[in-house]
Amino acid sequence: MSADEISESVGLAPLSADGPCTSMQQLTVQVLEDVLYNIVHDICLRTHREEKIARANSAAIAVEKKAELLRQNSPDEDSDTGEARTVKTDMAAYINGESILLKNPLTAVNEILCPKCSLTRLLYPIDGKGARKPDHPLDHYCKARPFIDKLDHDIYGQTFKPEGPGRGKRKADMVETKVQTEDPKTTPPPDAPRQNIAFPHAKCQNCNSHIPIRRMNRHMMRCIGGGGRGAAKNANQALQNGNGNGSRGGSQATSRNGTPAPGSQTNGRGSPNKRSMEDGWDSESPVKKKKASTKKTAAAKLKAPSMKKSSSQHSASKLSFESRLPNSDDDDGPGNDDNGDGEYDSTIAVEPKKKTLPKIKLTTKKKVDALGLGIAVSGGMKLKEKKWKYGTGNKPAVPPDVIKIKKTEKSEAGRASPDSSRTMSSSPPE
Amino acid sequence: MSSSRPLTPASPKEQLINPSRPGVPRYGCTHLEQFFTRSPQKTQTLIKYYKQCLKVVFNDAPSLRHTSKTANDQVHTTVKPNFLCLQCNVIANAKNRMEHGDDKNHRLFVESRSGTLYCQMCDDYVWDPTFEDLRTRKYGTGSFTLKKRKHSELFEDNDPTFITTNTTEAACRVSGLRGIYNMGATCYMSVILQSIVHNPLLRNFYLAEGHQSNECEIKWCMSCAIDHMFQEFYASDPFNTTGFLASGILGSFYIHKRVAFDQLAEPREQDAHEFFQYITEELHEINCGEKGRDGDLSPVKKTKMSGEKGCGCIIHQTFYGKLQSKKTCLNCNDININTEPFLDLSLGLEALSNKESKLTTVSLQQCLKKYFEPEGCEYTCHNCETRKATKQLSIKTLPNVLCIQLKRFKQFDGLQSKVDTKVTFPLKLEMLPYTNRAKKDDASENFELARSCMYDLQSVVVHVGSMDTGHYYSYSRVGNQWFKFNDHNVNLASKSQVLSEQAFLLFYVIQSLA
Repeated sequence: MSADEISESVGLAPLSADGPCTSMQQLTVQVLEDVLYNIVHDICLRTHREEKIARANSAAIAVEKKAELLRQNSPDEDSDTGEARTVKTDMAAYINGESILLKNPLTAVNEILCPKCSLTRLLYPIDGKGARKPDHPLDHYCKARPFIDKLDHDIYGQTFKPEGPGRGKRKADMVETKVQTEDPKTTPPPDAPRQNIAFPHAKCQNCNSHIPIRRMNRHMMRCIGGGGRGAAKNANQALQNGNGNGSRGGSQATSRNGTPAPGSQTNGRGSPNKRSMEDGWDSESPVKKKKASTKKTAAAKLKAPSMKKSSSQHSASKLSFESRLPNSDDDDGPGNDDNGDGEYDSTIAVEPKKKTLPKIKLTTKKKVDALGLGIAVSGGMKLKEKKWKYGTGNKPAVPPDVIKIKKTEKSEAGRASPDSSRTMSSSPPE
Repeated sequence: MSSSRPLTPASPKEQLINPSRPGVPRYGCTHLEQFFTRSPQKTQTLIKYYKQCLKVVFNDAPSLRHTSKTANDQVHTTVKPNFLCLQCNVIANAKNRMEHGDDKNHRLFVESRSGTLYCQMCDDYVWDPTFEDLRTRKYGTGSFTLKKRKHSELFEDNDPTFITTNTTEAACRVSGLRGIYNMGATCYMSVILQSIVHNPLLRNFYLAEGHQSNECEIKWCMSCAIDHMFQEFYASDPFNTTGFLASGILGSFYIHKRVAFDQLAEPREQDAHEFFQYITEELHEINCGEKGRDGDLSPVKKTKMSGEKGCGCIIHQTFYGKLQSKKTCLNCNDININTEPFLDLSLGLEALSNKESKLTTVSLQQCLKKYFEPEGCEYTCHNCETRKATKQLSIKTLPNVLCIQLKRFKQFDGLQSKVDTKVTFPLKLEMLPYTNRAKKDDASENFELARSCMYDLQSVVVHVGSMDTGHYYSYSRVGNQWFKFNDHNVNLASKSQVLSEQAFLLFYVIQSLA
């Protein structure tokens, strides 16, 4: 190739000074150079294309915007002469409904406008690598912002603790706070009240209960039936019988607002809790259920229209189930709390059972009940915390629960077959 | 290079220049405007010439367009870009382009590497909407019209006013970039869902109401759940940048789990590839309307049935290609050819890494080559009844989205272990050598065919950890930017970061679509 020019060109790699270069050497160097040139050429051309098209379009958008403004300001001429009028900016002209460039947009256009909202695009991230402070307040710019590249932050500037290698520890890598992109702060101390719950709760469609997202998989396996084929069949049957109408039908009678789990603050719980959860669910339920169901149905009906899918709606019958799960993780926001005293009870009960210490649970229940009525209206985090403390702190032995447990098992077994069966087997309280 | 741009809708044929669209200037530069506005005939010839230039650039042998004549009739061939004059058939290089322009008053050139228009009066490359449209179409599909591939109905021209009145435009902020919360060892699911979200075909299908959830009668329909996911990613509250709750999908998954994937429906860590197979099969059945009708048939039967018919559902359009296996009897040279659809290619790594034990890294192309090499097999010949034969696989039909699995999990003496061989994979993959057309015309270099077999990397699923436990995360490309999706976290990623990963699943999208 271009052998005739080789002599003129300066090689990338210095040709050996010792002896005369063979033509093959020269050729090799030349070809290598050309190939490198091509790579750079392609990259430049690609960037050039993106940039120039964006700028040309921005010029068109700007002139169209101006034309639109003019037309609005002088509505009289609009119908007749509006079409023929020419609007000009220093970059482009708008003639007969067409925008035409007047200059090379690469030199003439400085701002890139968003084709959708015709606001200026922010060209630099506002945080992290390569960040620049914008000249104008952020409202001035289009909402599509450059993504943020910052350690421990995601592309929207939300923070999370760095994860360990691989899976990471369960609770260690939770998102602590969601930092608004407008005012990035450092992570607030973990004790601070959470406004945005990092790990939300999601609704199980089968039983309509709200489960912390990290527990969803386990829950669903139990609720719908994982493992064996029989379980799936059961679940399907249940569906067809109308039990599983939950998510789509939006069953009001069973629906409840979010479970406020008192114990939620403790993020880092070991696996033993999970196992215990099953146990808990049997034992706690009976008394509470009754209360809960009556109160809740009323509450639920009132609230039902306003509720969003994500936040609320639990089936009363499966309270116990749900409640355990939330306990172990985080609570939902205070908004969910208000409807039920019963919920509290149930949730509380669940937690203690994890460790197969029925006494604790019982005590918590009682206290909760007592508290619950009064507190229900005020609702919210404080209550939960109190309860939680009670539950953990006191270990008075009041074992009336055994009886309750038995009852509950029976009663619940009827309702949700797969769950109950498993729980029974796994949970021996005392 | 321009492949990442979506194709702009085709203009009606009689219209030479694309109609002006709001927000886009009508012409690329002022000089081009002069050319276009002189007379319709001249415009027509200009466009005709441009098409010819593009054909030279994209279809002919590169030596043609890279050879130019200098003023004193010296032939000059270069690797660097040359310039094809748009107004005559001279090919100039960067140096004598100016001379030619002064000489003949020809001011428009076509660059020989990408077919880009160069305006000498601007002294700049020009991206005219009309020419650019032609160029991207030529580059992608090899023709100037859009009707090349079956699925092009997905891109069919609609009346723009109809679209604007009946749809809500996504907010500026919506990028389709969200994490998916881990629901307790569900990262195998998240990575597959992310690859689905960023799959252009499936995205268009679902965002175009391909599956109408409100008319769907299937309870816990997986397709509805996926539809919901797309809505969440692309259409819902633009300020919701936190993770997506895939509980609906998980629920559907548990309820509609299949006999064949029994092991999968357990709350443990699972194989992402198996989940991919599951979800494609599930979606296929829903989209074919088979779901529920013949629920009692075994899944194997079902796939067989649909495979024979040549299912036209979105999943088949997207992921399925056809493999041809050619069995040659070693004794009588009797050839037996049969074809079967394939969802993905599972490439073994062991054979390669064992054979050349010094080799620490293997390239994807090597794996593919190995996979499509002839190998001995057990086969009873019809004619001579000998049992020795060779079997060679080749691809008969390439899928639109090619899923490649690198078998990193092996079983050896009952022990399972993970193969940690590093596999290098390209951003652009050419599949022509592995198709059944490769051998026929390797002499005549068919650049157009080769280009139609080019794939762009779209998503990469990575597994870290050991056989028993580990974690999946994935990378996906949006435009030219790569992003890393690790559960609910989304981060920017560089290409080098992506390419240095130990990939487990690779999703390549055919270039004409990407």
